[in-house]
Amino acid sequence: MPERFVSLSKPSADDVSLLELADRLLNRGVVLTGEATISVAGVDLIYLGLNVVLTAVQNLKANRATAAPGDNHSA
Amino acid sequence: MPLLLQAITTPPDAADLLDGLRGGRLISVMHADLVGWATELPHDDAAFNREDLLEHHRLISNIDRRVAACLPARFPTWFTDTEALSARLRSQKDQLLAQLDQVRGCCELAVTALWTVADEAVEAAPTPGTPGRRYLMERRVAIAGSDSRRARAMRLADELEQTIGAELVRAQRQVCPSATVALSSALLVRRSDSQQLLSRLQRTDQDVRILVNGPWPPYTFADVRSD
Repeated sequence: MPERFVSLSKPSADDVSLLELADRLLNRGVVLTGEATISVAGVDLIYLGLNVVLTAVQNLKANRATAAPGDNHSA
Repeated sequence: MPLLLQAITTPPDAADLLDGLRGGRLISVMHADLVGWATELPHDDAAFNREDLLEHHRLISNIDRRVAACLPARFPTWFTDTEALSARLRSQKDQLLAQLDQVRGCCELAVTALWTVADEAVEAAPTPGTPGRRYLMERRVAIAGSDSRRARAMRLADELEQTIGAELVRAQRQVCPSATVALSSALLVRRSDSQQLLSRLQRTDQDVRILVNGPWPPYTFADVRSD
């Protein structure tokens, strides 16, 4: 399935809600173990973060090489 | 069985059962006044998707409603077994208890301010020589926004925090994190204040639209790092 992206110029309120939540779930919170990694396989929300969740995108780039291909599409 | 950690909390008010992620068994590991909540999940099933991410959020929210203080875990955080989780609770007990005290009775509101008009500085930005240099300059301006926009976003952040006043426990802000976003703030407030603050903060100004999401568990303020 080809990758699809939401409009980066004018994200909707729903997009923003998901992005803000995804940013928190993937980048914040307690990190208690060295085993913790950001798994990106199939987590298509990260693609929505290109324009807003910059840290998530950085993590995506860092981990993309090891991620399995998945269906990446917008919400 | 590997464990996917959801949260570290104070002991729950009631001992009812919750399902874990993907219907797995949710277990709680106790040490002193700490409880670690985690789902038993085979590592082989760990190709996570968006639903898992949202389910993780719903699960933490359910746990959060049952406790006085909750520290959500970054997704995904694995432990090999209950003993490994218990050992981590023991070794970081003081740090975790101190952090729980800071978020006790609190929740997080996410405030996002979106620009409603184009940035004049970006529109009028000069385009110097080579394509590479032009691209980099445009990217820099687009991401950072103009100085005037940054100043406006800073004022807006100050204003929003003043609007909350004494009800604001803590705040973290990102000014102009992208070309379309003026401000992304995480506000730690009392749970009892959250609903009325939601409506008080949400509005549209001449140049920005302010969106408020939450109340959420205090993700941004669960700032515990090992090692």
